[in-house]
Amino acid sequence: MNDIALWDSLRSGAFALGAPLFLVVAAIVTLLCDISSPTSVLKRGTGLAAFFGVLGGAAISMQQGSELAATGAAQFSPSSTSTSLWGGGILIDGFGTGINFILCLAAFLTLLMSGKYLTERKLPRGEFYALILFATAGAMIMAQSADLVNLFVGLEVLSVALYILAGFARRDWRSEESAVKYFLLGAFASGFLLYGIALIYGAAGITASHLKLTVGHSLTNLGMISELLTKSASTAQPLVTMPLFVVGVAFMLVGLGFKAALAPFHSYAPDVYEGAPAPVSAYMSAAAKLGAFAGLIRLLQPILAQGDQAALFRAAVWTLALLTMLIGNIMAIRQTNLKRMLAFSSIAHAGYVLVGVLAGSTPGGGFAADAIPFYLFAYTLMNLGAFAITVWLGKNGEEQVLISSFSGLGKRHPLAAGVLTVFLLSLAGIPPTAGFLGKLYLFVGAMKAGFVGLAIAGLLISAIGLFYYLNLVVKMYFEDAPDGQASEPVRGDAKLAALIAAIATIVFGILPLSMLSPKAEVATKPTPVAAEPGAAAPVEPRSH
Amino acid sequence: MDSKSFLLLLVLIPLLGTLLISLSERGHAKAIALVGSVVTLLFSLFSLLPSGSGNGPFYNLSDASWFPALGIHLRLGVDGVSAWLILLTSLLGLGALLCPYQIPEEKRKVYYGAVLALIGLLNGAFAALDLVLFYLCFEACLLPVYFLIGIFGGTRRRATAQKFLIFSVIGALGMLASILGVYAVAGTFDVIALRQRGIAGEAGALLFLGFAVAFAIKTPLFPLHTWQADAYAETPTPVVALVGGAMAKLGTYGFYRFCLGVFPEASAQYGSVLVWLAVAGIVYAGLIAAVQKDLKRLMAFSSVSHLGFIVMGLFSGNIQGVSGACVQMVNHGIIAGGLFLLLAYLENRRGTLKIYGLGGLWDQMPIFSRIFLLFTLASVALPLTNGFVGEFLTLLGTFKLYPAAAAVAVTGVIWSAVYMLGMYQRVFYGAPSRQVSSFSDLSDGESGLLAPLAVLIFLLGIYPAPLLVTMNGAVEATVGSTK
Repeated sequence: MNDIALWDSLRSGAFALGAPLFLVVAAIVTLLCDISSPTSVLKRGTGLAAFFGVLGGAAISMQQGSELAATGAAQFSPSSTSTSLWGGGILIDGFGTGINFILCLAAFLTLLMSGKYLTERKLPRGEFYALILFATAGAMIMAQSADLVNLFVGLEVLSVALYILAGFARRDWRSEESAVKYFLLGAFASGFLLYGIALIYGAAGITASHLKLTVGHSLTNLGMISELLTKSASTAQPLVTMPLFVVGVAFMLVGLGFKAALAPFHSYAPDVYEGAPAPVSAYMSAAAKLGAFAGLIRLLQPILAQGDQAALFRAAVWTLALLTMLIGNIMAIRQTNLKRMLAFSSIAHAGYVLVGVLAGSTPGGGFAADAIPFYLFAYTLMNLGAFAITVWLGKNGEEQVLISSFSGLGKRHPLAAGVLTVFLLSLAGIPPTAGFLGKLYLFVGAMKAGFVGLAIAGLLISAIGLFYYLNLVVKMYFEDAPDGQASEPVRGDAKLAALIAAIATIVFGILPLSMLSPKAEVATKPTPVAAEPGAAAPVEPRSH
Repeated sequence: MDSKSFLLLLVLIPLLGTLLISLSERGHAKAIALVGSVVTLLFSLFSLLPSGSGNGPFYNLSDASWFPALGIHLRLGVDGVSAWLILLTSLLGLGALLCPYQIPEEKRKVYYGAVLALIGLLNGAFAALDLVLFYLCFEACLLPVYFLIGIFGGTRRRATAQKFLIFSVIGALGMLASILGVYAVAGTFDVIALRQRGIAGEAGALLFLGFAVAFAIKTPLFPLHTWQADAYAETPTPVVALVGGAMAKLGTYGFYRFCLGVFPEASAQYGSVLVWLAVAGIVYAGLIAAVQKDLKRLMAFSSVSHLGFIVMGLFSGNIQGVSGACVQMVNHGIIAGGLFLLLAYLENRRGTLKIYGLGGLWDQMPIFSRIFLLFTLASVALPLTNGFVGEFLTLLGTFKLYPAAAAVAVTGVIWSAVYMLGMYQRVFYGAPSRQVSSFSDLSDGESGLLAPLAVLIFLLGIYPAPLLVTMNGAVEATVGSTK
């Protein structure tokens, strides 16, 4: 390979991983600034470097997305053209860049809400910022990976940073407990994931040798696996029904399901979110899910394309989705701590997204796949916003988390109450908010892919959410304040984060966002109502 | 002003007014609300006059793409029925805002903002010709009412607000599921296109059910009416004029526009069920109203009974019944709106609306008593008042297909006379009780507010042609598709 070719491949490779690389560099700069002497100018640049990293990452994602859009594909949609680099292990496609952009948004809001909070709790800012950036870079690699090994690498970068962040308030036993719990269970889940990858590798190897294929890519490459799945479908031993493969995928579902907090792998989430510092819980509830869902959809897409042979997987994901929606919503009702409630609510939302993932992975589910980035965008805004409120209203280094302490907030802090109301209405899916629109897109997508029953079940289950979301609204507006709770909230930066998120929640609920929303299908034919679970109805081919 | 876009203004002006109220000082809230509501009323007069482009019975159409991903449009337009309902909404909205009511200083912004928003959202729901747009307005209407109940209600406000919201949202979510189903079947949210296409068969019946339940809760139709009396009791009385007069029509209008319009087959097939439920409601609510101890709750049950006539007429399956129902939607709005405003006046003087302790108002408050009598007689459907026209036509229409149901429903007129006149006797006749003796009669402003409604009662009672003629085309187009 001559120099120019090498240089070209390096450059395009760097471009492919532009966003995560930028964040990693920014994280290192942040750390360097942080270790400089407390009086120097550099020290003050710590936060600036971190913000610069996040904004740069977002700008690169936007740029990549618009370059893809210039080729005629829908921007930020999984169906847009993709370029694979790094030996086929990394993809630049609309979906990946879309998720990357949302990850930057999550990191931005987290950084914004954490500034004064960290100072007040006497926690080191530089480390915190850098870890958020590293975690974001890890999740970005997950979103862009087309190889299971890269997926694992991204997941570990994300997870290790999150383990540390969960225990970031070292002197607080709740934070310690949260970190230990998250680490032990998380390591276990990573083990499952890796084991699953190994089994898939084995199954793919056996199939490849049966088919006498020359293996161009690595055997854990998703493109390769997709090829093997298709080619072996009509042989005596199709890969998709091979026990080794089935167990491998099941293990991977466990591993990714843990990160996305899907029931029944969700039990850590409430404890971890409750104990971790609020900005960390906020970040965790968005970033870990974003990465995990990106991985899930990349894994499931080739498998569910196998039609009837993949009925088992479809049924499994269908069950997981239903279970997650139910458990998240039902358990949230009885919570008395806002962080725990938001944890269960985020489990419920993971269930809605999984409906989209299932539909989006099914052939003909292009609309649902396109809807996932918008839903995650809306979810990031409203969930992080709600966490930002707990930081904003807290004082003396504590967060305001007891639901009973929100009584009469409408009178004490009308602005905070109004902003929180926006988030709660959006989480409950009441128009005119981004949360409503996201749910609409997602469930329409599910219906288009033939999952009518699941979509209706999701809609009805989401009615349960009203009980706990509106319970808080009732407390804020219809109850009187307990005595002696009239101090003015001080954390201005968390207030800013919450306000930005609230305005965006409303604006993107009213104005169509062409960048993130699904692309209109040119012609729509009646969709036959399919039997469920499984048996995705043959829907019209994607129009783009 | 482009004639096409003024329907959108009917939604935007009140909503912008609400935004302005939330941003401005407390003292300006009422002025902004009044200006917004007057301007809306003036524009809504135009909604009656066909000036823009038309399509079948629909006119003043406007269309702009909104969420292209799903083909959701800002499609607005009215027909003879919805134009009157918009006018009614704007009129009652202004009435509710003008009606004197004791509001604590710090809650003014919430009160005026919520009422103004409700006007805008109701107008939006009546003018929407896109299923998703309709759903948005329909569902968003809950929020102002929810906050009005929860913030201004009495001791039971929390439970009542929750009950109201849970009932409504469960219905609305079922409707949303049906809307998505319609999209899956027909591939569009465009109401005009859907009306031309119609959805039949088993899918049609299932989707019809989703819509019907939502509207039955909203109307409310027996046996889903249990939220209503509580909700009215806890809502500020002037606002009940708007809620009971106009928002309740959202349910019956929904039956008319979507159930009859898009699912003619299912409407014909399951119409008998709805007719009988309506009849059961007419009788049941009439009987319950007779034993109420509170004037507002009595009126709430009376509303259930009268709205039963409307639903019965809508599903009677012929033009007379449906046009009677549509006429009655407007007429009941005028009567109920007027009665609730009258109750608000009484509540201002007395503090509560318990019937016990009242009596002898006839001499003490002569103007109030006479206006009240007029509205009471209209409510019991006395000939020559507007209440008679609609109910008579619905009974006539229903008799053709469901004679037994009509026969039972006729007794509803008797019950309504029993509870309304019984109430009138207890409250207004006899010797003035001690607490009544300090009440002052209506001021000129107060009676002036009711004058337009009182005029309409006679006008539309003696000469109902304006309503019947303007609605005729719309009703014929809708019923024509049922056959």
